[in-house]
Amino acid sequence: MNSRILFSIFLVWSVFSTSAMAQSSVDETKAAESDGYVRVKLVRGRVTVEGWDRDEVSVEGTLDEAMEKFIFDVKGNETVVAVRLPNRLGRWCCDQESDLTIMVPKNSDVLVSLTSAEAEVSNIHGGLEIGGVSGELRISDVSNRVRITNISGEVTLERAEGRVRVKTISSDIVAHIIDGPGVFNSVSGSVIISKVTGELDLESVSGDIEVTRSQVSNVRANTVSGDVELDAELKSGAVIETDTMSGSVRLSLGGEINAEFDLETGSGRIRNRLSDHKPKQSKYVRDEVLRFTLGNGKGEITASSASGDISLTRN
Amino acid sequence: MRLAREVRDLDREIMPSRDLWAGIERKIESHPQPKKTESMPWMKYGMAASVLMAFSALVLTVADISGNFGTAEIVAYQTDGTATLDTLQVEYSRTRDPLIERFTDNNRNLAPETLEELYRNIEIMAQARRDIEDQVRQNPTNPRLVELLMRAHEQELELLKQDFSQPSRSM
Repeated sequence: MNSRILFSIFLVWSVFSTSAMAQSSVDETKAAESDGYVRVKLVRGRVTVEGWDRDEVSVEGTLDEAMEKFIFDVKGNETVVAVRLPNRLGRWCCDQESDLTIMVPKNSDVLVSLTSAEAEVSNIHGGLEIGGVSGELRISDVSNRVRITNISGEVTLERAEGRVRVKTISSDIVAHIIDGPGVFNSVSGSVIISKVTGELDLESVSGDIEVTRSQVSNVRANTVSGDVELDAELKSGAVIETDTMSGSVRLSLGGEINAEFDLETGSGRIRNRLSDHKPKQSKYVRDEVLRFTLGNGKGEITASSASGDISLTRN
Repeated sequence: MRLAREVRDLDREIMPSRDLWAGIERKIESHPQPKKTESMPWMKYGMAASVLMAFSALVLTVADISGNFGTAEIVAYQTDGTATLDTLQVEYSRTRDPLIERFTDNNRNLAPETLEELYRNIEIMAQARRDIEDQVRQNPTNPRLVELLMRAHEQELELLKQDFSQPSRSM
């Protein structure tokens, strides 16, 4: 008798617990303004946000099995998509995380707020702001104002137009084909940029900075212990300013070079393979300085390192 | 010649009359001297200006610590020679320490692995700040380093102010 009661309790508990934790799916579409605001909030899982030509927002995929509430609201010009989780999740609970694909009008201004979720965002042209903690962020084909912040998940940005700002702490930033002024800032991650045509402001504490295959007009690159590498063609009147404490600086320049050069290292060496000018060494202190002008001297190239080497070559 | 002779004949020492000093004192009292005009009137204005500047720097620093710590630090560091790195470090710790407590409190509901990741990154930022501080000590006149330190402070504080359990922020 007792065993029957126990079995019945177990059966009821298992039915209820299974239904409570089952992963549900969603497939909804709502009309939205073509250039409205879209807000996406996700704590964990994966989300793909993609712009399309329709004036609609659609959400499709599976929802987190620990979900407390799913929100998909359109009010005026603002759309909110959010998966709300309980404040505290037990360690044993709910491995199935959200996996959503959200289609939005491509001229929407999109804000994506994540915690440990990873995101893929593409074809957004009304502005994008995305912030996360540990998930990887992959962003492509975006224009207007683009602002990306992540703590430790890698950030990959491809084909961005307009003002771009990317900030991370320990993760790397990889950006390719950027047309517009860009600010890229990491603490210990590397900043790797290629095919950029606008102004660049690059900063890292211990990560390396690398700019390749680019046409640059204004570049400012600062590190404390990271290396700086610039492989680029200079636009007329280009201003390149690199500064590092213990890292080294490698400048590989192409095209017609018309610039004044001012290179200085405290205890490293300067190697110039761009011209015949030789660095000067101080008589009593171990430092090297190299100043010279090529062409009409319209541009300005400065590089300084407290203890690293500086090399100058033609690409 | 007569005058010279008379002078020569005078005694080597002359004792003052008994009421000489009392007489002088009486004369002074009856004819008070005009007050001495200050030889350096700009001194007090200079001192007042210094106090005002120091006070302004302090107000700026305190006001900005809660909001925009970096700007105030740059102002203090560049305009006031007495604001050393040590002072800035003390002020910074005073701002940072309560935020760490608040950060732990705000984010206690996050998944343990996310919280661990955040603490790992907070430590990365703190280490980066210490590295820059070391460099600033070695190169105190390098403005770029000071600027970098201010930005590291700003970024660290921004991170600590955030409530990651509410994913609706930007760093």
